[in-house]
Formats: sequence, structure tokens, C-alpha cells
Amino acid sequence: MTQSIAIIDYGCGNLASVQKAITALGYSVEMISDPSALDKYGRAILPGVGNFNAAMNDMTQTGLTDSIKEFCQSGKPLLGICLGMQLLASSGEEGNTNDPVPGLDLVPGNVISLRSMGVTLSVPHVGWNGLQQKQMSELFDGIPDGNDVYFVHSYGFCPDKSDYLIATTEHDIEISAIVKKDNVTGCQFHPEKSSKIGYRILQNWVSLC
Amino acid sequence: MLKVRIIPTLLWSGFGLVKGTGFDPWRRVGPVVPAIEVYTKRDVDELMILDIDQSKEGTTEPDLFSITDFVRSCNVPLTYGGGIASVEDAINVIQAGADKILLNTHQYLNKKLISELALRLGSQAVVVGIDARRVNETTHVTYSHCGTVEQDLSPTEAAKIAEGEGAGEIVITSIDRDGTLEGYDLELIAKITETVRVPVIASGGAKDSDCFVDAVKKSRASAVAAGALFHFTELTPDDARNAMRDAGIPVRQVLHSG
Repeated sequence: MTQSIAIIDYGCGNLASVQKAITALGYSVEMISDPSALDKYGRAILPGVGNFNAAMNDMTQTGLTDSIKEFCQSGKPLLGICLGMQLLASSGEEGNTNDPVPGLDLVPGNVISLRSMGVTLSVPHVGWNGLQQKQMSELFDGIPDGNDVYFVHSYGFCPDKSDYLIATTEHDIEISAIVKKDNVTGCQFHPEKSSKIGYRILQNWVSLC
Repeated sequence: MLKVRIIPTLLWSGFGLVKGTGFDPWRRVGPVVPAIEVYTKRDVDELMILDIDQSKEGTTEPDLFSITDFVRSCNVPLTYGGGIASVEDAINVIQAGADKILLNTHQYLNKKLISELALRLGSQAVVVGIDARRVNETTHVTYSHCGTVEQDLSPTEAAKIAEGEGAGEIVITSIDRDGTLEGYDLELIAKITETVRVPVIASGGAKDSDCFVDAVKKSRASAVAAGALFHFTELTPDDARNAMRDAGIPVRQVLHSG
């Protein structure tokens, strides 16, 4: 098995930034769009800028949905970022409000619009916001509680169990910032765009693997 | 609580950065990559890079090769604008490493483009730029093509349309104030923040940290952008951040340890 970290390329994402961040931390990364290539890697990142429905459609058509699920079932660590984090959920209503689209279902929960969650402040939730640590986690090694990370999203992850909620942020209401179930972790914010703090979180995640 | 962002704007033309006054004449201010490196080291909140050649012509495609080069030295969010005429252009720009795309001229040329981009990329990746000139005490007119072509609608109408079509943020730029260091057109900014609920970025004319405070407190901007101020004066984004914090505005806490 290669020691490289796979970045899953499903046709639309901020791949270059994630690649640059992981490379800067001293690890090798490879972009993967071929579903059969994923199992050669020990850890993978699912990045994301895009629309839930469109992304799930693309991933299902190319066979990535199945290969990502198999990857996680084998116990290997997966990190979803932004849309990549939301895709970990059981379902998402973006792009199809009345009939939510199934997600990867790796962290049980639903992705709904921030407005329907009750946010009355500006949506999208864009910018630097404090990361409130809800549970002890090695992901927070060296990171003071409440430090700012960069968010840019219009939908939020509502996990089925509070056990899955590792960190939150506040924008009118509490919004999931990090969710985690076993070997699957998701960050709503962009660690690769969150300067030193973000790079430290990525470093901590890689060290966990 | 969400922090108010301070965003240096880099205008790029040909092989380097430029800065003008009132969108003309353009003065060279140096190469792009070292500027991005300096801003990255200074830990700015976000960067905006606009290719003014593309927006003036309105005909060419984004220079992906250069964008790839720019993002290499940037570890904070980056918005790119200039020449994005289709969903394909936008996807290419984001795959090259930009986080958000800024659409200006082409929102008027192709009225479905904002909604197509929002559908494909999500609203949060779609920033719409609106450039306006003041015509009298109360009225502003909207311009496209880097301030050269007048559009038959007011900036508030343009903002309302952009929001309705799915824009995630709006950058409102006063062409009259651009590069003058005379302060923002606070009325223009307030008109937009009163019209839309998406975050509004104040742009054009920033002269000091006080005008950042005014743009936030008086005109309710969610972020402040500045070009000339950071190019030609001693003020750094970090100084501005401290001044805003002193004025009671929530700004980002920067991690100073390794």
C-alpha cells in the first residue's frame, strides 16, 4: 500500500489548495478519480466546492460512491472537507429541497439549509468563525479553543447523535464544524484555507492515521 | 460569531499587478506572486485577484496557467475574477485552486450565468461584483467591462437580481472612489446592504482603518476590500484588523505560534 494520501477528484473541488496544504506539511498526495485506484491508499481526503445533488450524481455515475464506502468499511481514515464533509451524511437537500438526495451515509445525519436550521444572519455563512471544541480530540492538539477557521457554506450538517459532533461554530445558532464517526472525519470549514490553525488540524489528522 | 474580513484586492494586467484611479489609468505596482506571498505571510483574512484585461475585453478565457501559479503561494481564501463566461470557465478556475469566482461583466451578457454557476458550484462559491458610478446626490449607475459600458439598471437592481439568481456574496465597488484613497461611498454600500441579505463586501476608495469601521458600522458591510490603501500606504491588513478590534468590531484571532 502506498503511503501517499489520496485526494478524491469527483470533478469539482478545490483540489489544488488541499494538495498544496498536504504537500507543504511534508506528505505526498495523489489525485484519484478512478474508483478502483482508491484501495491502494491508506488515507483519503474528499474535498469540496459544489452542490450536494450534483456531486452525489457525479460520484455515483463514476462508481466513486461505492469505492469510498468500501474504503471506509476497511477502517481507513477519510477526511471530508466542506461539501466533502456534507457528503458523508445520510442525505442532503441541496439541489432537491422536497426530496433529499442520499449521501454516503458514513456519518448518520442530514444536510439542510442554514435558513431552515434557523439562521437569520447572512447566508452563505462566509468567513472566519470560532471553532468551539465539544469533545476532547487529538485533532485539537496545539489549537486553543475558540480560534478562528474559515467557513464558506449555505448548508449545515445535522448529525443524528451528538456523539458525532466534535466541534461547532456559532452563526446565530450552533452549526456543526467537525463531525466524526470512527475513522471518518468531516470539517465544514476549510483547513487548507485556514492559515496556520488549519494546517495544524490537517497535520493532527494525518498524525492520527 | 462571524468575523468581519479585511480583503486586499490585487488587480492584475498582463504580467503584473496594477492599480488605477477610477478604473483608469493603470499604474504598475509589481509582480503578482511576491505580493501574494507577502499577504500570505501577513496572514490576511482573504485575497481577491481580478484580471482587468479579461474584464475589459469580455471575450477571452481565464488564464489558468497564471492562476495555478498564484494559488501556490496562498494559504488563505482566494477569489478570482476576470473572463469567467461559462460554468466550464468557473470549474476550471476553481480546479486551478481558487475558492470562489467573481462574476461581473458576464452577469449582464448571459443573464442565466449566475444561476447556472450557483447550481453547479453552490452559491457560496459565486461572488458577484457590481461596479457603480454616482450620477448625482442620490443616484448611482451600474457599469460593466471594467467601468467602460453603462448598464441600464441601478446597483440595487443589479444586486437584487444577483441575489435572486443565487449569488453568495456581492462586492460593491464605487468607480468614482476607486484608487482615490478618499474613503468608501458609504451610501452606495448601505443601499446594497439594505437590499440584499447575502454578505456585502465594501470596495473602492478605502483610505484608512476608520473608513473600514464606518463601512461596517454605518453601512453594515460584512467585509472590507482595499487595493491602493495596502499598495501605497504604510497601513497593513494586520494594523487595520487591530484598529477594527479596538472599535468593537469582531475580527479574526490570528494564531501566532508555529
